[in-house]
Formats: sequence, structure tokens, C-alpha cells
Amino acid sequence: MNLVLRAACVYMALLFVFRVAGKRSLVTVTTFDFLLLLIISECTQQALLGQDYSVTGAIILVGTLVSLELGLSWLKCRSTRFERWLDGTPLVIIEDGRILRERLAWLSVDEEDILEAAHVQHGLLRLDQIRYAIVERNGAIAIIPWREGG
Amino acid sequence: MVEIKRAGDLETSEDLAFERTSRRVRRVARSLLYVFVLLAALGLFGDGPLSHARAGHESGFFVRYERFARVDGTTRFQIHPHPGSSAAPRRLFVSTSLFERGHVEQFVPEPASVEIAADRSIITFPRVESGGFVVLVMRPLRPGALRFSLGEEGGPTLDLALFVYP
Repeated sequence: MNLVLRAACVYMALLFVFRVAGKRSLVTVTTFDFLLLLIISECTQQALLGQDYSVTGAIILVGTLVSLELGLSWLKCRSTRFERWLDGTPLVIIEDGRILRERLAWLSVDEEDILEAAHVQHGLLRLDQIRYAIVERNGAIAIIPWREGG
Repeated sequence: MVEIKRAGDLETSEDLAFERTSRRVRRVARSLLYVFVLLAALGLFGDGPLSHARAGHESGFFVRYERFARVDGTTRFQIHPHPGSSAAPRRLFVSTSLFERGHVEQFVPEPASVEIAADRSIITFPRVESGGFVVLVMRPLRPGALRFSLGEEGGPTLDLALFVYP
């Protein structure tokens, strides 16, 4: 198959799989997740290159992948709907100190994940010190603590 | 640009209606992914029970093969000649359409000779015992339907059809 088509197919397939896996799938990378990523990259490398190990082939592939990325960024800038489907939207999971449990279930996030983000980002000790927690578009949990005396 | 909303003191582009729709779509897409993996395990994309095929009757000339193959992967044809006199050389033929869409990697055992005709290649094997078989290993080079004929010279001909995935 043509190299450009190969690159486009693999790009779209990966986009689909990682979008389906959910925004939190690669936020906390364990040792096993890292190994899995290496295996995935090895599998896709074979599919992309086939029997062609030429420099020209590699340049065509890199050019195609970067063009696809730029093309999608261009489309995202022009269409809010497209941007939302590709990147998702942030989701508030603690609002004014109240844990929104239904939303935690939507994202497969638990209180331990929130507490871990609170420890790392602000050195907070307890969940009740958190005013807002938001799962951002990249899947990271952003913590906003209560202000001193507020 | 995504619309920024205000919830209390917090400004965010959160969109609950979209999040609900997205969740439903993701659930369906995940189910499709599981079905895809299951079908792959069963052989819909090659090498599995759904893919195993046989052409011809076991009492005569028949071929076991995979009906689904993949470009640049290898696929095997197990060719069982008609049980007959094992002393006579076996002359099998393969139509040219196979060579147009794939690369023949190997014949096992090694053929004694190969003759090229306009529409077919005739492969001669010096001796194949009754119950023995010949293996043809090929690598499809183009996706799509692959149809070709395979047979014994002066004997039965089988029309084989494979689907080659990209």
C-alpha cells in the first residue's frame, strides 16, 4: 500500500483507539503502560514501513504524519464541534468542595486520584481542602484549593 | 473557539450535554472495539476458525487454505493431489492471476520443474505419496479479492477465492 495511505490509516486508527480509551488512559503511565506503549509503537512501525526501509520512505511518513497533525489542528481552530470530539472538554469533579460522584464514575476516576493530584500540586492533606477539581482535556486533574479564610 | 462558561468563581469550557453524548458514543465505540478484537481472534482477518477453508472433496483433489489474508503477510495453501499412482510425477498448475497479485515465497517440497504458459504455471513434483500434500506459501501484494485456479494437469480444477486485507 502507498506510504501516505498507510500513514493516514495508522494515524486515524490510533486516534480512534486512544479517543475510545478515554482521556485518562495515558495520564498516569505505570511501568506496564510504558511497555505497552513501546509494543504499540513497534506494531505500528511495522505497519507503516512494511518492507520499505529507505530514507525517502521515512521522510514521506514523517511528512504525512506531521501534515495530518497540522491539518487536524487547522480544523480544530475552525470548528468547535470538531475540537470537542477530538480533544473532549474539561469536566468539574469537585464543585465548591462537593464531590460529584456520578462524574467520577463517567471518567473512572476515584477519590484517591484526586487526593494524589492535591498532594502533588498543592501539598494538601485532605479532600475537604479542595474547592474545585477539574479533569482537564488532557486527562490531568487540576486542583484549586480553598483560599486562606475563604 | 470553545465557549468559556462561569460556574461560581470558576471559568471553564465544561459542556455537560456534550460530555453525556461523548460518553454514549465512547461506550458504543468500545463495544465495537471489543467485537473487532473478538472477530480478529475468530479469524475474520485471517488465521482462525472463520478463515479456514477447503476447496474440493477430501476423497479427491482438494486444497486447504485461509480465505482471509493480509497484504505482506504470508498465507499457506495445502494442496492434496488426487490419491493415485505415487510413482508418476504430479503436475499441478496455478493460474497467472495468483502471480499478478502476490509473490510465491515457497513450494514445499521443492518442485522438479516449473513451466510458464500464457495463462498458467505448471509445477511438477517428482513424487507425492498417496495422502501426501504440497504446500504453497505466498505473500499477497495487493488488497482486495484474489481469485485464481489451481488444479492437476488433465485432472480437476479448483477455483479459489481469498480476500486480502490491506
